[in-house]
Amino acid sequence: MGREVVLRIEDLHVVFNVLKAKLKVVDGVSLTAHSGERLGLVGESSCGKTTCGRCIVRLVQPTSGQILFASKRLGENIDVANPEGRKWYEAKREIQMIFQNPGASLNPVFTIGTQFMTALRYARPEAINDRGIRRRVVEALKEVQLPDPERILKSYPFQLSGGMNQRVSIAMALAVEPELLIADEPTTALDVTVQNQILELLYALVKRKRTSVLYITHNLGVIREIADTVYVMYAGTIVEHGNPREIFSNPLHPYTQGLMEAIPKLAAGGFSKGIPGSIPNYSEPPSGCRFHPRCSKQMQICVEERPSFVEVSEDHKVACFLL
Amino acid sequence: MTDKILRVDALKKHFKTKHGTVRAVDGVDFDIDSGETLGLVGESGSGKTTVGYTIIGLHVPTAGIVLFKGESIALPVAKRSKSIKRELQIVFQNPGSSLNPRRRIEEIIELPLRVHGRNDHRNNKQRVVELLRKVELSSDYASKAPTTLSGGEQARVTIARALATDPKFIILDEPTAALDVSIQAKIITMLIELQQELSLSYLFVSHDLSLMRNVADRVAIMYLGKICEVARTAEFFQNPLHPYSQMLLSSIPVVSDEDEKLRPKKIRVVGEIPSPVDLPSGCSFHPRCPKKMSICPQVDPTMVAVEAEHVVRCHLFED
Repeated sequence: MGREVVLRIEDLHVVFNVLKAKLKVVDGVSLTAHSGERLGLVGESSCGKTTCGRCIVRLVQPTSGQILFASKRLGENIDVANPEGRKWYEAKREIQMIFQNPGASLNPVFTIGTQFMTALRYARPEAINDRGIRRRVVEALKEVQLPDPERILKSYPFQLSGGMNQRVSIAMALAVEPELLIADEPTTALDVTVQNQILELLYALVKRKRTSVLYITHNLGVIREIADTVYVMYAGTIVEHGNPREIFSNPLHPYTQGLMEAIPKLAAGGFSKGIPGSIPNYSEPPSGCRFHPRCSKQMQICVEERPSFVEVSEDHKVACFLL
Repeated sequence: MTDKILRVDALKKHFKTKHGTVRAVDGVDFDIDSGETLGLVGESGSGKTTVGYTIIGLHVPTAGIVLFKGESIALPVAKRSKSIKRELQIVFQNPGSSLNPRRRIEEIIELPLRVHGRNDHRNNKQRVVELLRKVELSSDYASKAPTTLSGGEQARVTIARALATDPKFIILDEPTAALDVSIQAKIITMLIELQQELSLSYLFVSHDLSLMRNVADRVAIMYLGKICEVARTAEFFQNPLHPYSQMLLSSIPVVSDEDEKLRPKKIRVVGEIPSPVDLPSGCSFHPRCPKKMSICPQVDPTMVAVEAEHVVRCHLFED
């Protein structure tokens, strides 16, 4: 089977104007997702990972850069950042996003049934009558192993637990059978046992429908479990990408190394004292490599120039002057 | 043999609500040696925070014994002696919301000193700077407002406040749950250093088993208001006995091949935590247990000592 490219982001920049400051939140992110591939975007709070995800569904307008999405409906690539005419209205049916906090992304004044059916009616206009849609909704809820779907249809989001709401939003995103799914920290608020259930479910559904997934999280363990490719993000830039097992066992960028050392492990042996300093101020980001003020291996060139990616192996690329 | 700083025996805390009685803590026993860290681990709704709140005195226990240095503290906070209140402190779960946004850091840290009768403002000011230094913050922070601090700095301030009265025992209620790992690592390292320097005992309430592996001397696993297993940390991670402990441990996402070998084989998780209003009969874990037997729905198991310091509450280990 050929590896078709579903999504290609090139040199994405996002600048937010806040009062008089310009926050350069995303600074030259490029990534590629193939059909059926599970991509992980990992980084600590406020590194710009959610902003990247939101750009893909046009909730944030990028300042510059291209987001090419291969639309099956249109049979062509469209630039999500600057779509022509009404093309986006067709293409967006093929992209779905699961938001971070299901309690906040589901509408509290409508029942699950109402909002689910509205979503499906809009996303799949060919899915004829209401009865057909209702049947599909019930099926979708069963697929995510929610007990008693009929009762859930009549419930409001606040009547369900966090785990159940999260499963509803996953069912909603998958019922549309998207080509691309963006999952923004879908399991962060959940307990590990529930997280485990949801990841398994997502994995199975994605495998069956050959959906490409962009999984955004700060949890490296989750990425190692589910992603085929990982992009490690720091302060709006990608610092390292490739196969997660390869990268986590042999991290080469000083930031990834610092992150790995800070994670408490089952093998005990303690952990490091963390990475010195804190994430930079986005209105005046450091010149050159954005990690240089916190880097223990800083060199003169790091302050002056932005490192480009060095190919360590086919599955492992690092943006650092050390290599 | 070290002395026990805290002993909890058959502790119960029930809450009456419209929908029935919530049995948040339903018979919990453990003890903590002085200088020790006990990790109290459980998922949300297991009652681990309620245990902490009952010990500190925010809740009065429904039944059971809580002994601090041999003295009963199963009373409302107002009836406790000042020395006990001084020696027993807590760091709350969400540092942001446990700091008064209308007070400066200095006032926040000084308050416990004043409550305990130290009204000399100039001395107190010095003490505040000293405490800030202990949590690795510069004295500039004294005049700042809590809302201007980052999450990690807020966590440090709550720790400084807990240290203000020279406590012997601190309840840490998920102090780093909301923080990034690189910041968590700093805070935890600091907490461990403070423990050695000031010979503190910790009750570390957490949902993060991999963190407990590196911090706790012993771990206690809690499920639906009961403790199902207590063991020395190394022993627990080598040989978890309770089916729930195994399920929890097998669900952790790990980052290295080495860790993957240490983790028990994936156990399929079924169902969700039942409501604590309507607890399952017998062993409350039986509806989700992969090793369920016919006795489990009928009889609640008792704690059995499998080894000297390894107890488990499961019918599989009863004779």
